Amino acid sequence: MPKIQVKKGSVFVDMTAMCDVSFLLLTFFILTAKAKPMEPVEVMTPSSIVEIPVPDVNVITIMVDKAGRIFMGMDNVDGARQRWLDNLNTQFKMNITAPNQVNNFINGGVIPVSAKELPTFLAAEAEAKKKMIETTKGIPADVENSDANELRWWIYNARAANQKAVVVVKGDKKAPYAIIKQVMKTLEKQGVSRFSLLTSQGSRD
Amino acid sequence: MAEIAENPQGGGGKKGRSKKPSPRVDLTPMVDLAFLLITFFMLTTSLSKPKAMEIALPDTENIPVDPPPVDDDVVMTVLLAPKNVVLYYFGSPEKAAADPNGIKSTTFDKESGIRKVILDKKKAVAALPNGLGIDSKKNNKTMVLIKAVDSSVYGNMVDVLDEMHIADIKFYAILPISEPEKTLVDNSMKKVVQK
Repeated sequence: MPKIQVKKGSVFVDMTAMCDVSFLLLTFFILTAKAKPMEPVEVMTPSSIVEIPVPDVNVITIMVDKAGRIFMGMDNVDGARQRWLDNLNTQFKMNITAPNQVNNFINGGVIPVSAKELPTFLAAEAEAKKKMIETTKGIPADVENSDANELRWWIYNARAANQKAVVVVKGDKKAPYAIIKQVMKTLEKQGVSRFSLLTSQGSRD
Repeated sequence: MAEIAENPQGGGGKKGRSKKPSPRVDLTPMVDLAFLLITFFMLTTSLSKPKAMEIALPDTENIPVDPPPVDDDVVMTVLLAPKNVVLYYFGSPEKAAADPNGIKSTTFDKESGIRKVILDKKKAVAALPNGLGIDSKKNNKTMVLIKAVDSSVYGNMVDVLDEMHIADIKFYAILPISEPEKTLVDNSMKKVVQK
C-alpha cells in the first residue's frame, strides 16, 4: 500500500500581520520617545510611592551625586539659560562670551563644575571634560560660611533668570545627609521652603 | 522573493495566458528592521518618568512667640543613624534618655521595621481617651519628628518620608538634630554594633 502522502504546506508564513504589529509598536515608541537627558554623573534616585510627576519645563535641578558633590542645572525655556549665564557672568566676574562656550553652556544640561572651573570646562574638549567631571568637587555649599557658599549664588541667579521655576533636588540614594542638609539650608535661606525631592517609582527592597 | 500562491481549485487558470507574478512580497526583512528599530526606541526611551516628592521646610523666621503646647503622647521622634539603622523614641527626649529602654532601634524592613512602629503609634494615638489623638478635622494627630545625623544617607531620609506617605501621617517635620540626641545615636549605635 502506498504511503499516504501528506500534502506539504507552504513553508512561507504570511508576514503581513506581524509587520503591521511591529510597525504599530514602532510608531508608538517613536511618538513616546524622549531622549534621556544628558547627565554628567550617574545618580540613582531613591524610590517612593508618590505619584506626582516632575514638570517638564521651568525646573531648576540641584543634583547631588554619590560622593556628595553638588551640581546645578536648569531647563532652557524662553532663553532662561542665556539669562542665567549672563547673571553668573556678572556674579562671579567671569567673561564667558565666546560662542562655543555659550553654546556649551546653553545646551549643557546639568553643569558638572563649580564657577571657578566653568570657563575652562566650557572651552574644553570632550576628553578633558570627562576628566574634569571626575576630579571636580562640585559647587561648594558651606552653610556656616556664607561667603564660601557658592551654591546660593547659583540658585539665586537661576531663580532670577526664570522666576516661574520650581526647585527639584535630585539626590543619590547614597549621598551623605550632611550635604543634603547643606542644600536644604541653602534653599531655606533663599526663601525656597517648598521644593521637590526627585524619586523613582517602585517599591524599595 | 515571492511566494507562489497555490491554488488547489485551479479556478480560472487558463491555459496559454502568461503567468502573472504573485503580488505577495516576503516581508521578513521588513519585520526584522521594524523590530530592530523598536528595540532601539525601547532602550532609549525613559518610560518611567521620575516622580517628585513635595517637601516643605518649616518657617524658621516667623516662629510664633508662644507656640501651642504639644501633647507628649502624640509625638514620636525618628532618628536616622548610619548603616540603615533607625532609632525612635516616644514623647520628650529627656524622658526617653532617662529610660534605659526609651530608645529603640529598628530597620527599614517592610513587615517588622519602622513602618509597623509608625502604624502602631498611629493606632495608639487614635485610641487616646477623650479624642485627644484626633483633631477637629478627624485627622490623626500623630506627630513624627525626623532627625538625621550627618553620617546617615539621603536615601534613608527619603525612605522615612515615604513611610509618612504610606502611613498617612499629616504632621511631620525634618528637624536639625540636637547634641543630646547625637550622643543618644552614638550610644545606641555602639549597642547595635555589639549585637
